[in-house]
Amino acid sequence: MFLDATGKACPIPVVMAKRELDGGCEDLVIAVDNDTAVQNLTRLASGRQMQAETQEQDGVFRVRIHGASSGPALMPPLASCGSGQGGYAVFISKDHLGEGAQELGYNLLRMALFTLAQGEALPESVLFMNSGVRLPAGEDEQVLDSLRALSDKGVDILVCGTCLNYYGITEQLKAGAVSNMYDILERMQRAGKVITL
Amino acid sequence: MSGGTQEYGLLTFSSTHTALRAEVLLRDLNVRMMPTLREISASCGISLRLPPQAGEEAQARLTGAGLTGWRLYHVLSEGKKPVCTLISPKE
Repeated sequence: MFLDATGKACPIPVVMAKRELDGGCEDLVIAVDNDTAVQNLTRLASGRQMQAETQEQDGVFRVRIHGASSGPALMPPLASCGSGQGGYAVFISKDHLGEGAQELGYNLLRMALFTLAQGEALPESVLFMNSGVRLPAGEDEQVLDSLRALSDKGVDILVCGTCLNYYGITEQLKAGAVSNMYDILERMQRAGKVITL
Repeated sequence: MSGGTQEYGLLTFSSTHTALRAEVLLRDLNVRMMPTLREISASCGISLRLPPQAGEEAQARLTGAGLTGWRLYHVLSEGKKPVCTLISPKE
């Protein structure tokens, strides 16, 4: 069995591997692109009394896990799924940040998105709901530039289609993809943490 | 901040209200509102980032509109820590 988990944020690779091993797979090769994932996969293997070998080529690690499994096991303690590889989602449910003056709140949110897009610790996804959808469907070039920059760096921008429809701005979406409650909730559940702005 | 060399002008303000007013005045100069850099502390939290060549025009507009309490820096960021040089007003 071969799994390609390159580009997947921690802890998705180990979750993918665990699913196959729990299903009875006894010889699994999984490709990942970061050390943390290698560590976690190795730990997963040893927790099941299985062998793990890693080969690296051009920044891609191929971790082979094989041997007779001791059976389904609890998820091992994971190495830090911290900064740099995503692993968190940003949830934006309104078109301003915080409570108080609307003008200030809107500009704080613009700056937050700018700072997020400039930084290195990128989220896995940015999720827009309710009046937050006005940002990717608006005319503010700074906001749109930030969202496009995030998207270019591999961050998924998901925008609630129900909300766009409610506000009558579906056709005006300029950044991100129309999404739905299932996908947005799944992203939240899958993320190591969700930051609500 | 992301890698690579970045060079830009940065306007800081003593008042948040002035910063918001300035952003409207300078919007067509391709300014970007951003948090004031940690390296520059004596100002409000809102700064305007602008292309290096837009500095003179920005200064002229702010002065023409009677806005005070702003400073223009040249920022060169080659790594994690940006180097900020005050351009105006001269001290």
